[in-house]
Amino acid sequence: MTGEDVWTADDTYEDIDVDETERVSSAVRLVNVSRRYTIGKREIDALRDVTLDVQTDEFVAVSGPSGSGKTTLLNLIGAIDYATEGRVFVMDVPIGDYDESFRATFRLVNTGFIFQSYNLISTLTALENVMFPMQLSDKPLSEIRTDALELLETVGLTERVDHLPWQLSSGEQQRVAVARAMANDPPIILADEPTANLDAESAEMVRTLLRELHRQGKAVIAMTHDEHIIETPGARHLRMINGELSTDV
Amino acid sequence: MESYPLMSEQDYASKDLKRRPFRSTLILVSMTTVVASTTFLFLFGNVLLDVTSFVTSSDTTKSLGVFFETFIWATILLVLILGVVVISSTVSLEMVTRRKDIGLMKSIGTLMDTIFDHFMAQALIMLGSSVVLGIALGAFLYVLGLLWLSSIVTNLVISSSFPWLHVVALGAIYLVVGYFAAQRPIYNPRYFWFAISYCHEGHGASILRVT
Repeated sequence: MTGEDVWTADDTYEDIDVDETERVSSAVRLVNVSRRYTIGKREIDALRDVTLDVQTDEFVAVSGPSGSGKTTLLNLIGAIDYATEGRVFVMDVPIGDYDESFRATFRLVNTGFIFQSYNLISTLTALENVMFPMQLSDKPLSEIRTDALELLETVGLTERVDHLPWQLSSGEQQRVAVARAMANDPPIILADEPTANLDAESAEMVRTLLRELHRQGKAVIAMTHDEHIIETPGARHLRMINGELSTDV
Repeated sequence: MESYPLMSEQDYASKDLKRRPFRSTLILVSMTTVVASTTFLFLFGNVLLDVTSFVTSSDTTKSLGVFFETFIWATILLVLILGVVVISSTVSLEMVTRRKDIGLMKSIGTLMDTIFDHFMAQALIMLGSSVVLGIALGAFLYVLGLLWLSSIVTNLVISSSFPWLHVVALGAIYLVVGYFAAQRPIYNPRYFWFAISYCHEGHGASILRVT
């Protein structure tokens, strides 16, 4: 963690070539990654020696029983958590080497998160929730607003832009979350059980949106039990059991 | 530090408070009440101290006077401690109720500084208005009390100078204590992980984290 190549808060984000996608070899690359949690004297291996390579236009579905380490894997890829061992590269950037403020900006620009529930900031309207990740944008506010409205139109929520999260159904909330994940046009979409709490119709809409994002050339990584997501044409299916990732089943 | 044009222009802080009207009002009313009652008791306690030393100046009542003065001093001190504890826990709990939002903002990549500014602005709005309202109300009660006192004890000479120093000191104590009380939950990494696990699983039960 020390040395000349460690970035600090003083370095500007623009100095790093993450936008030059033609030079990015893979969206996500994990090399012998382990994550161990220590609870009191007990040690839990949430991830054991995981190696994974996801291309910039790939759709990856990871299934596995709950507690198998899927969420930990997603948190590592999303630069929320640190690996105990091994290296994590996202868009070829070894994110484990950087400090928290770099990692925060990195995940804001490069990853779109869709969680299972509680996806939206409770006091912001649908529109403001979508605008929220665009906080680093140089565009004027009116343009950001127009962009956000467009994204909400893509997910079919034009009528609901000024509603607060509690005024939306869980399906609508999840669609706002998808729009928010698209806000900065990130190359990677991370989803954790995106359809688990939804009715059939909303779930289908979310699946369609995920496939559409994949078609646009984004890397989509979804942790899911949803057979329909796993069976997406062209999707790579991985299984996570007891912290170990096994290739196609 | 980089600047965040969107955050500053939109300035969600006061909007946020208005969108949770019930909670905001409740917090405002409870903090105002605490500030008002402690201000009143603090100021009026001081007056009663003077009255006591005046009334008990003769030899026979001197020992009783010491008793009264100690009692009033203790009350003033306890009232001050009570005020500080209630204000800090109210502000702090209010921030704790926002922990899921704080965690969510952080997980999508908002910088800690931005989050801090946003929630601290809210805490300070609540704190500031409660302190101003509360002190005004408390001072009003204090003046009423003085008038009443002077109407029953007619030979008492009430000094006309208002205890500005006390009032300012009291307000400053509340603001400083409230500021630090709000700060802790915003920075607490446990709340971040609570929120993250909540987002992933729909409940906050499994916090597999000791950092």
